[in-house]
Amino acid sequence: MSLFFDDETEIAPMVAGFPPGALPRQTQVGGLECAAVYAEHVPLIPESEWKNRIADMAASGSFIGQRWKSDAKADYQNGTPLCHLYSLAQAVMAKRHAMGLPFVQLAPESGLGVNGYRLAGGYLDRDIEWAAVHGLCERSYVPMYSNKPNSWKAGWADNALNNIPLEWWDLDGQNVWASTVTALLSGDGCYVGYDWAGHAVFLDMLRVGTNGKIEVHTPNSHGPGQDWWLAGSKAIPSMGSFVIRSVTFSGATL
Amino acid sequence: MKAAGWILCACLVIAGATLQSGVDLPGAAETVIGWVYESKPVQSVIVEESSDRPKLPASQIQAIAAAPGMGVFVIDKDVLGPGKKPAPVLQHYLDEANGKPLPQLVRKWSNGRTTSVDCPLTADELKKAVGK
Repeated sequence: MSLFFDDETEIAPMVAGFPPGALPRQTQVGGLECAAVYAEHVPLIPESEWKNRIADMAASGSFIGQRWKSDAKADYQNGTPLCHLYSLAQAVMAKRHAMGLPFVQLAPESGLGVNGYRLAGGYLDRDIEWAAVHGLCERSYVPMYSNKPNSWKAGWADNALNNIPLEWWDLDGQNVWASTVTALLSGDGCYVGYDWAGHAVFLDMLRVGTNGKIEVHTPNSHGPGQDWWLAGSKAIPSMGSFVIRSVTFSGATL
Repeated sequence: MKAAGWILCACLVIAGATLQSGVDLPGAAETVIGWVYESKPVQSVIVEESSDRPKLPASQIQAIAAAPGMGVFVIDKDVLGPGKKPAPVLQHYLDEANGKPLPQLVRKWSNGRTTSVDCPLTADELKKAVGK
């Protein structure tokens, strides 16, 4: 059972029990070395084509959320403010799938070095900057919700080098919604932040609602049955929207 | 009728020799000759320029999305391996696609050859091209 939020929805109930985990970006759009501005390099799909393309993508099962399913129990932030890392890990796992690489369950906590190993909220732009250098390791190295790297299995940092999101697109700015829709219609997923919820999520597919408005889906990281469909202003990323161009090629033989 | 048969045989022998010689052939011809000589794709990789993806026809985007389900890897031309170092396992495929219009479908055949063609425009065409 999904949750649905649009302009009419009260904000308080949707974030109850979850401290804000995403903070407004610190860098300017285009200010990240690892993330070029999408709209400056990629032709955006005209809005007039969106609804037909959404129907085609859904019918052929081509949205990344139809091809790769987040495990709601494994990708569960469990009351910690780590949405910014759990959704980052979802983005990396989904991209690995889109490249045909074998599945690995990643440990979002292995990215805690970005904020000094505190179980605290974070900035999407700083997270991708950090991950583009250090990567994320597999879950077998790090217990869920642990922020004590001294207790993690030896070799975790080396393992993380297998899963580096090398380059990103920065979708933020005046074209953020058109860029986000274009990326999803291209089969990619988006790592985004919403200031109305203080929350970071991974967007993985689109649909056209019964009222004709375009809605966007996130598996979310709030546990089973807590995936979201968003519409109206609540669907538009407001604290950054990023797409991974590629992750390091690892774990596959040719 | 008998003569036509001999001519066909001769053509196939010449085509086979051409195939083995390493001369580049058009993709379709390569595929047909590969079938005749019972050579099959053993590994397929789509090499793309990720910034061009939205420019592609919707059906080709869907084909690329379906590719991993057919055992086909999808890589950006600038992809790297662990630790952001070049991935030797990919070099052969990247070299094959180098200088050609992307996305390219690079196939390694059971006879040892590696060839590339423009990425098919539909998932069905891709499925046929990779022998699934």
